[in-house]
Amino acid sequence: MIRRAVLPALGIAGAAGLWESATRSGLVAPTDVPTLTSTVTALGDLLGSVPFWVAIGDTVRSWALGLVASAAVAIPLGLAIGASERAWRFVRIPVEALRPIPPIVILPLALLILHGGITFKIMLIMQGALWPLLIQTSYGVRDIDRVVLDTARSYRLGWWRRVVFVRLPAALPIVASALKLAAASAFAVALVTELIGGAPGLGQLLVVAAGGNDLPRVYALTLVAGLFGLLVAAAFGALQRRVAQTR
Amino acid sequence: MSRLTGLLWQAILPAALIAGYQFWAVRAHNPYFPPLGAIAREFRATWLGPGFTEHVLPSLWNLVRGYLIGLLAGVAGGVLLGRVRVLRDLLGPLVGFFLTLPAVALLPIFVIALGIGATMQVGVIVFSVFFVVLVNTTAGMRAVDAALIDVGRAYRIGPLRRLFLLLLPAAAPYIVAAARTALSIAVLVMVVSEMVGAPYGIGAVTLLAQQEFQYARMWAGMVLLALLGYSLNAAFALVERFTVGRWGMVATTGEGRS
Amino acid sequence: MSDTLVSVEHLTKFYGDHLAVDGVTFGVRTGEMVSIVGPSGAGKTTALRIVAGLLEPTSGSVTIGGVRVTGPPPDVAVVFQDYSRSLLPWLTVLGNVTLPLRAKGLSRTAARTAALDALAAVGLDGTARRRPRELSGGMQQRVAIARALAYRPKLLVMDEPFASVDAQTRMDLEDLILPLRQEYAVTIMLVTHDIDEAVYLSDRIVVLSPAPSTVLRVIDVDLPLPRSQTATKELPGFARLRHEVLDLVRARTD
Ligand SMILES: Nc1ncnc2c1ncn2[C@@H]1O[C@H](COP(=O)(O)OP(=O)(O)OP(=O)(O)O)[C@@H](O)[C@H]1O
Ligand SMILES: [Mg+2]
Repeated sequence: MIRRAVLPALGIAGAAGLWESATRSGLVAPTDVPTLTSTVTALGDLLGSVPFWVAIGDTVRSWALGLVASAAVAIPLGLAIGASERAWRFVRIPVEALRPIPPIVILPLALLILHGGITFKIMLIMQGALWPLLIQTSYGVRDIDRVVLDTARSYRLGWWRRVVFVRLPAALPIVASALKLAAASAFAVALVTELIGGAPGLGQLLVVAAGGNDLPRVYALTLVAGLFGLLVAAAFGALQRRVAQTR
Repeated sequence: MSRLTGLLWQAILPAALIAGYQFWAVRAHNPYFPPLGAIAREFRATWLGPGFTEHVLPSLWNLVRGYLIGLLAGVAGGVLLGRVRVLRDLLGPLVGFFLTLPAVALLPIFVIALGIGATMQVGVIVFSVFFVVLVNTTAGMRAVDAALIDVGRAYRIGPLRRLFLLLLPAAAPYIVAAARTALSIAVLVMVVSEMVGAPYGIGAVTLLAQQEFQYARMWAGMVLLALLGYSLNAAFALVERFTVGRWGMVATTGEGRS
Repeated sequence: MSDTLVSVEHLTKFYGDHLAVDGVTFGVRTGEMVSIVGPSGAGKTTALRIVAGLLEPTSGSVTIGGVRVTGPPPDVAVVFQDYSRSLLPWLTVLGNVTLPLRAKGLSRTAARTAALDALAAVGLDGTARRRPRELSGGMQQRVAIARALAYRPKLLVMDEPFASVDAQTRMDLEDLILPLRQEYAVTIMLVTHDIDEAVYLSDRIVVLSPAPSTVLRVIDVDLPLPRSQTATKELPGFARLRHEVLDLVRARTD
């Protein structure tokens, strides 16, 4: 019990100590890596500055909108495609061909047409999040136990009820785990649009700080990105566990 | 549906999409959307000539190196974390942090520490692959059936055989799934790392083409990247089929990241 | 025949503060087949895992051939209850059988020969190159038995080895084991909760009480050898023994 709480804390403290002593002692050049203390100071400055929160707002907004848009398109479509073998076959080739294309591929084109605004970010996030969500949902819907389906039919549930009350609940765990992955990759893609595409947000602050060679600020911003990633993973992990429980 | 009509049915949509694009592009004269012929010509000129050794090979070489180093290190670390509980407890929060930190966010840090160049690119790829594989290998090692562990102990199978013939194959569904996820992440990271000022590489050429209004070349780059992503994924499906698939095991969807 | 190969003395096992095995004592003589029966949850698997050196007792001891068991001993082979989980799906049948032999230091060819012999002995010639999942449940369990026999153990420990196959296959496997005992000169400890099986196969039966388990009685089975599914099971002696064990097991579970 104690070990469970003490060891992780010890690990974090150890890493922090290692960072601070390596940078202080000159083992790692201060032009390569800032000290932990200066990073923490920079983080404090960030937390008190308005542009930082505006950037966070930009990143979070595009992340959330991109994710919601992906889910809004992918989940109903996945349900429809998954419920019919014919429909699935019809779209199979384009879907399987488009899925493995990294979202970065359409960045140049999207940048050209959408000029790096929020629509641009959402488009890219969707390329990253929509296909896996679509495919997982349709798998989840098709993977359903035949007996359950036959039972539903024998009680003469209509197509609509079968989809909503039988297929969707059965697919939920897979959808939830796909959503967790999609949320993580949506965040990564949001950062890419800001780092490469110059869209406003956390990534853009990073580029600016790196350009100004403000190392503590770069590290502080990276830390923030990591913490946000943790938050997202924790939130969607909780959702996933809830869904798994209600089954 | 017979086999033939089944195939035809599947071909309708992709054929219609391609034909529709071509039909529209030829007529629309929109510079952003060049017709297929122009893209194909530019593809050949950019990637199949000297560009192949100048840009495609270096990109792929970075990808392969970074991916393999990250994969091997991740598996090795995962075996260690899976077996040693103290390490797992000690490093748990740090590993969790680096798992969810998108690798692309580390680009500025890598650029500052290593400068722009192959070392930096490989470094980011290694990082992006390492933690996904690490976490899933750890989970795979933890999930090895107790019955198999008993077999290993009862028959006094030595540590090397136990690792390579028993534990790692048993954890393979996790490792293979992670390796597949990691590969698609690595492709993304490779391209992004080339877009932050690298003088060569597929990503660099593609972004530069866009900035120089060479839209057919930009499309050629997009097509190449799409082909790359698609064929690597397809190759991996084969790997999966001939390992865990043949053993009657199913690849899991474990912890992901990007 | 009277020298003791295995002696289990005052074996006690706590899981946390749950007492599973409470001072179990019995012995197994060289060449004997001893069954351990008892109701579900009696602690049979626990006792057997301790004998196989897979589990530490809380107190008491197990000695095999005069040597105290502290870990899996070199000349003990185990057949686990769940065949599908105890075979390595990524190895062929041959690979599964040779793995322990190679680990034991046999050369590749020696291991191969021993494995093929054992596979033939359990009636599995021609399956060496197949993978476990391509075989039926009964065949998979025979692979597990072949793996144990090829290991040439002094003691073969089996935990409900026939529990997850159908009745017909079960009889086939029982009849497979009987002659192999002689052929491989092996002492066998068999855990089962099938009383017919225990009476049919054993020289002696150790009856355990419900957990925390103690030895209720050790019964000598004086049925003639060789045994047969039809003739032996029709003997009055068989019915009497069956009755005796059943009463013991029943009396304590009610
Ligand atoms: N790892 C464990 N942790 C805690 N309790 C355990 C553990 N293994 C077994 N037990 C408990 O110990 C008792 C004996 O279990 P054991 O598996 O030895 O019984 P068994 O006689 O083999 O039963 P069965 O016939 O069902 O296989 C049971 O009450 C069981 O709940
Ligand atoms: Mg048991």
